[in-house]
Amino acid sequence: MGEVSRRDFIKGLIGGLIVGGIVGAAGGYVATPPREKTVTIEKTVATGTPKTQTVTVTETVTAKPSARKVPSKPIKLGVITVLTGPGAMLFSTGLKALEMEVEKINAQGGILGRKIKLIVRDSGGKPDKCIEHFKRLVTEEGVDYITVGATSAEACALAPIAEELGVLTLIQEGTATKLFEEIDPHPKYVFRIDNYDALDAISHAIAIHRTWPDARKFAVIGADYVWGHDEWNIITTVLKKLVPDMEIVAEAWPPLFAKDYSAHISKVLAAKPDVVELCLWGGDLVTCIKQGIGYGLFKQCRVSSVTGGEYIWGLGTECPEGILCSTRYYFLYPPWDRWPLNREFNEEFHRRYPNVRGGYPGFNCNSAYTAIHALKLAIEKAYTIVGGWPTTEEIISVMENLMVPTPGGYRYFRKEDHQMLGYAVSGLTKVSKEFGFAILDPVWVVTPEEMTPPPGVKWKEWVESWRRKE
Amino acid sequence: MGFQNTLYCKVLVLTCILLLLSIPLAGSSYLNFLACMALVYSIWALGYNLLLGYTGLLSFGHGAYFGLGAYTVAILTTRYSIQSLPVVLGTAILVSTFFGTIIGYLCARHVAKYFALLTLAFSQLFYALTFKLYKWTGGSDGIGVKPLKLLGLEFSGIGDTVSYYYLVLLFFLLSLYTSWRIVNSPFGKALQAIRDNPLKAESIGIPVKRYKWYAFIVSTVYSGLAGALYAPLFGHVVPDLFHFSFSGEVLFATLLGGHRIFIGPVIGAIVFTIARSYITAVTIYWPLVLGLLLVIVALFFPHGVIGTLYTTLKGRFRRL
Repeated sequence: MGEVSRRDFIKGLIGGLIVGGIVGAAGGYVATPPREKTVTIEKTVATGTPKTQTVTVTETVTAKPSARKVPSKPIKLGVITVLTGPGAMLFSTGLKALEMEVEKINAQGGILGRKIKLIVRDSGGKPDKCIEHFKRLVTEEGVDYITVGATSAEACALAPIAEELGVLTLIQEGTATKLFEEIDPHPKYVFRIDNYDALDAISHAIAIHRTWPDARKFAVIGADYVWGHDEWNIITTVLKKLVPDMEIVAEAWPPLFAKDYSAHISKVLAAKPDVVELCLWGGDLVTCIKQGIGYGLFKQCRVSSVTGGEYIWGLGTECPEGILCSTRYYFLYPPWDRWPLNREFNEEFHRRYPNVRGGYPGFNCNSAYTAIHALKLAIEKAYTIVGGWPTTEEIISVMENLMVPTPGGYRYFRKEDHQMLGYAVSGLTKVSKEFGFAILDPVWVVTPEEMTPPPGVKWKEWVESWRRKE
Repeated sequence: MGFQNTLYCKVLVLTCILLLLSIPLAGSSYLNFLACMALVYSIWALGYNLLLGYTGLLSFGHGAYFGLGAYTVAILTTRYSIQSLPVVLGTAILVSTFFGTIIGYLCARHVAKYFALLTLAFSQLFYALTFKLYKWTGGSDGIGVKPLKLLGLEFSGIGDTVSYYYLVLLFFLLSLYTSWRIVNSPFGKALQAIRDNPLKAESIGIPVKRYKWYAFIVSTVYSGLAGALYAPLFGHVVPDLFHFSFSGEVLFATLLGGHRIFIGPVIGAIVFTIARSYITAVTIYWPLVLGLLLVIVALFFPHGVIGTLYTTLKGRFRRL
């Protein structure tokens, strides 16, 4: 055996230490019994029976030792919404509801023990800023998921980027029909919560026909831009199917954010229609209704509005009675005694924000609630399936076809196009002294089956395919 | 010997180019995106400053030519599936220049506030038309933009931002060079004479109205190019591009950097893009902050940040 040099000795020593370390670590790992992690998931479930409370169901899940551990750091949820500019009034209430729900979830321990941290960015309603924020949130700030309460233009601009960057993105509003019909027909990472524009119009047309089946002559006062024209086009296409001898007797198109509707009201009144549709939203609708009172619009003909259910509170007790208004979520439906989740959501919102929207949540509050609870539900469900913290792709596969209890009743994501489906609400205005503004009473619903085209079918083809039963 | 011909200047320019070339090495796709945006705004501001800084004409409507370039790219790529980079960019510049030629002819006959108001009116006209012609333009929802293609490569700000960054950088350097040549040409000197004293310029034989018109046309070429590069960067265009408030952004950037110094608008555009990006991420009161910034620049830096710095340093060196 030859003499061992100093260099060889040191080499041998280092090699021995490395090999010994590896063997020791492996031995220790094998010797240690597998550690199982038990996580308790609490679910709030509305029982649905009359005059009952929600109940909390506790489910215990044991994660496999090989499963991905639940990270200890909070979930970073990016929020892009409109907090400045013309849309701020509408979208900021959705953010309030989102913050309210996140606070409640965090107080209950978060999602599988992980608190939610909101990172809020204001897009000002501008798609370029929305895209800039999105890229920054994903690539620089490392958010886990993103929810967007934004305009149609922003949603259309954002969807291809969300797909490219592979980030689970829950679009609350952004209800352009073309989002899933043309821009992102096979979404993977993008989901949309609210009923989109075509569903609003189809359900509203069905509601008009059901409420006033004898109406034949129709007129419109509509905002002169793509949304106003599109909604009226869909409403009349559906009405022509339901009432083949219907007639459009007058069309008046005031510009968006107009201040004076007198000429437009006079024009439609001169045509003596049975029904006047107000295809307006926000302050435009409120202003038009106020000016219509002076012109006797509501005495001379029936009036309907595709978005009315969302905005009539702004008229206070001045609101004329008997206007047929539709919306995506109405704070009094499902009735609070039959659906306690809705009552609890409204009471909490009213307690926190008594001066916002008359103290009661609107459709974007319901969609904000739905976004955060759908995410929570999907993560928890995926966790029970994979037995560990789920990847984005695993959450998505659960979210497809996921049924979510929301204040506005059960809603579910359609697998094929990631569109959430829920009913639409319509009703006639009636001044309420209790609330201090007009409410919808009675209220009816149009179900998703009645108003939603099958996946991959455009609304026009679907409505054209309707056949009357003889 | 002017500062621009010194060795220091050459070294500085070379360093800046190397710095710009090395941005993608940082490996941040957001940084590439932000840099693209800054360079697009820089091209726009370079063209805009030919009017404001060198001819003394204040336009409130240069968003119109930016928007025309952007919408041409969107319509060609989405409605007609034409994605060839030279065809699309060439057409976008042509469309923007065509309208710039007509509108410039009408505007250049007027001076000061009348010129400014006319440019604003034409810009708002395009804004209203984009809303109205929604079957073509997508109305308020806007219209998507598909990537540009050249030699089998795709260029857009959505996917591989590195290749798109180098494309934008190439056009930026070209714009910088051509703009430099223009302002130092006899034509450029004539524009400066018009700015300083139109009557005197007229009296020495400079066709003032015609040269103002030419300057307007050249600035719309840059605006069209900037708009054409902006569209694939964001992948979507909306009518806001035609709105006068968007035109205000290039004015802000130019004033921020300094309109009396060649590189001022470029620095202004870069500072404006970065500042806006960071301010909007920090506070929802970003319009207020940007407004305050404009007030500070107007009150304390009348020649812009770079302009004031340059003037101060020049004075110090002279004293030395």
